[in-house]
Amino acid sequence: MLTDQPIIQGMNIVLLGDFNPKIFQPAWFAAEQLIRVPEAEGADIKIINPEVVIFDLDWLEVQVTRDRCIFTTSQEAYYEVVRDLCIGTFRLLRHTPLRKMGINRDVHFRMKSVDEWHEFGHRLAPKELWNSILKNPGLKSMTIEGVREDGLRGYMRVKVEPSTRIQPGIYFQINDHYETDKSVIGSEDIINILESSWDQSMGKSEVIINSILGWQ
Amino acid sequence: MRPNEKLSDSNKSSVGNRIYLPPEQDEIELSLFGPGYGESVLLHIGANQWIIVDSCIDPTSESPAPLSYLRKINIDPSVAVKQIIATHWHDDHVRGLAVILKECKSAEFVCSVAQTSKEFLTLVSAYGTRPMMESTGINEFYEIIKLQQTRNVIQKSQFIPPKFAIADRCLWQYEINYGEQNIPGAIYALSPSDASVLIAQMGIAKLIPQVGETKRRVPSLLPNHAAVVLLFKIGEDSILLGSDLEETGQAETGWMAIISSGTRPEGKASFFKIPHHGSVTAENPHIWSLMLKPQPISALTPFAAGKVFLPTNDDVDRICNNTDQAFSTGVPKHPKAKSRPKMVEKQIKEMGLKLRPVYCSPGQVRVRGRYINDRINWIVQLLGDAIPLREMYN
Amino acid sequence: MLILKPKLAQYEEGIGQDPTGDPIKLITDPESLLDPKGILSCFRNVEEESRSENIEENIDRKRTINLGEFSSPVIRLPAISRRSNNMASLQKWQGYVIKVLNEALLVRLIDLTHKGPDEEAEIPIEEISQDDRGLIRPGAIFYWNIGYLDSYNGQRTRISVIRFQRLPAWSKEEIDAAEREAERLQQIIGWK
Repeated sequence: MLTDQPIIQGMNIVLLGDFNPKIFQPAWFAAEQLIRVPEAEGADIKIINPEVVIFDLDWLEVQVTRDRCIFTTSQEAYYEVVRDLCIGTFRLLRHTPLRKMGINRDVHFRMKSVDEWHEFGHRLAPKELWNSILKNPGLKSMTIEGVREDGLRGYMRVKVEPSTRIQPGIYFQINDHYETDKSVIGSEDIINILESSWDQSMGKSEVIINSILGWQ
Repeated sequence: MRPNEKLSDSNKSSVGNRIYLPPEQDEIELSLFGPGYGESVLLHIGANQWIIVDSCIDPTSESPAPLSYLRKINIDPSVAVKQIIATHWHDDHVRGLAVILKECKSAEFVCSVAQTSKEFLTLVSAYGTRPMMESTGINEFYEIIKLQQTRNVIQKSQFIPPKFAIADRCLWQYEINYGEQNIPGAIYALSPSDASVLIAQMGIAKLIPQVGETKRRVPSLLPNHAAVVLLFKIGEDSILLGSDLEETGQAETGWMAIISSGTRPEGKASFFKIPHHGSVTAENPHIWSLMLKPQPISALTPFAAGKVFLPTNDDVDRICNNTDQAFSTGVPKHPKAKSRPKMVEKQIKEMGLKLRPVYCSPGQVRVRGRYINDRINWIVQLLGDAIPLREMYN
Repeated sequence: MLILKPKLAQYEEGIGQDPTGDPIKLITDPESLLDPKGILSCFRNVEEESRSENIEENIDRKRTINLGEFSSPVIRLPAISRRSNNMASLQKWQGYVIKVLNEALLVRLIDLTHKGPDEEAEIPIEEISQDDRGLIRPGAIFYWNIGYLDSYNGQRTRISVIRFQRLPAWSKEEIDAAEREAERLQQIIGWK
């Protein structure tokens, strides 16, 4: 749990590989019992096409193209459910080549005041250097990348920006990125990583956000 | 842990008064840990040689209770622990076992022969790689097997071949210098019997998932046919550890198989770890008359799940009728309910639910003694929540 | 949405040409974009990133684009407002069924919000969604969250969500793989 209550938050799992989007229809998920039948029947289908599938459930957004598959939720109660859905899908479709995965968190926090908001931005990116070359410099976006600590391929990227949805607010995006060997065939490696790394990934995101918030 | 010593009448000398000092080289020590969920036994047979039987987690240190205690008394487990015995694979007996095995580099690993079957390894392989299945017992064994595999393949110098327990097998023979005498000792497994092994393996086979079956947590196998009962012989005295073995009512399995075995090592024990939390399902009156000395020091760990609490009042009466020296590692109390944000409490209340923290009453029954005149003169110490069994329902 | 379907019908029903080899032209007002996450990200096939929103700056909104050279043709759809509910959990558990009682489930709860001992409870079966009741059995795993749901129209509601875990059933391949692994382990570690 994040220490300061976020106002808006979401989680998504992004998979890069080779997909046949037309498979990923609500009816298929329901037939495989990965979601409830009434959920599939009530799905808000944006498009189903050999090149792209997009549909929403109450708690889920699914977007699939030939090379990208994204499961998104903005309800924390469903984070594990989305994870299970992703695992279940690609355990069934185990021949789908998956090369990369991002377990991502998006969080918007409200700052107490505009002054506090400015102060936070200044703390993240001190303006002394910029004042000599720009008028009223302000932090627009900052992205920092770190190496993985678990020995797996990939990186950890953190983006911090002023929030566009809450003013004054801060937006965090944590991109926990994993890669497999290019020669890998199938989904097993990535899905095994998702299963075994989930707890650490969620925990690490919270530590990162709490730490940055603690820099106020 | 808060010391709460009670000296037995057998010897009120100063020998047993030291809480966190290690036993002397010629002192035998046994500790039964019961943190509330699970149990573990730690035994010092003399000359700084230790044996760990099962594992549970100390809620204070959040590490395996035997390791936590050994560190407190400044014993290095990596050299002092010689054997680690897993009596069976239920969650409450194996939590932290893989950590113990990793740290105790000089220890031989022993488990029931029923755990060597292909069926059990298939179960471990199927579930052990699925962290979301939350089945601690299987996951622990999976970690143990991975560690054994690493040691055998990569770190060959660290690999000690495991040993498998079956009825009446000697697991270790030794001679220890106790004062001026060298006393022979041995560790025997008294179970599982041949029939129990077969039944256990058939039961394990039934747990292997079938095609089309929903994935879920592995249930425990009851009754526990594979549990290893241990007899530690020290000269003319013994220690009997009953694990979770239950009485089945059949001659070839359970306690009857042990009692009627013609190849069972002789001798009666002065210390008894009461099996299966004192439940009547593990009771056989012949244990007391044929396998134990009169008034043996006896200890158990309580158990609570849902509305069931063991030992019951009747169990306590029954056990105390057999010995005046019976102890429990914990008291029958449920910890205080967790405090949560008001909104959460309100929601839980509106749903008509009551959340009970799982029973947690950490305690340690420790006995120490010297081998004098063909017997061990035990002194009992009760640490943490441990109490005399007679006081449990008073 | 409605504009699109007739145009795409030929692809959805498999009529006409192979859609993967044929460039698809933009057919609506370029300013009307679907949520840029997902579809538009497929432009970024040079450097593959696993973030969900990335390259709006790569989209030229002023002209129709022939996208045959890209790995994924892009289809622009009329704007669909992103209405989503937001929920933050104040308390999260993962649990499993110990026993199925008459009208309740005896469950063990692992607190995922705060460290501490596990808990037990008897949850009335009526608290379980109808479509999850077929998943109830000893050992079944579920998630329980309590928190506030902020709907897209600004309404806040206190909610409790109990949802059973759904994973594919055991497959023959998985069980066979476990058996092969068991044989391999027996050989390696000498557990024979």
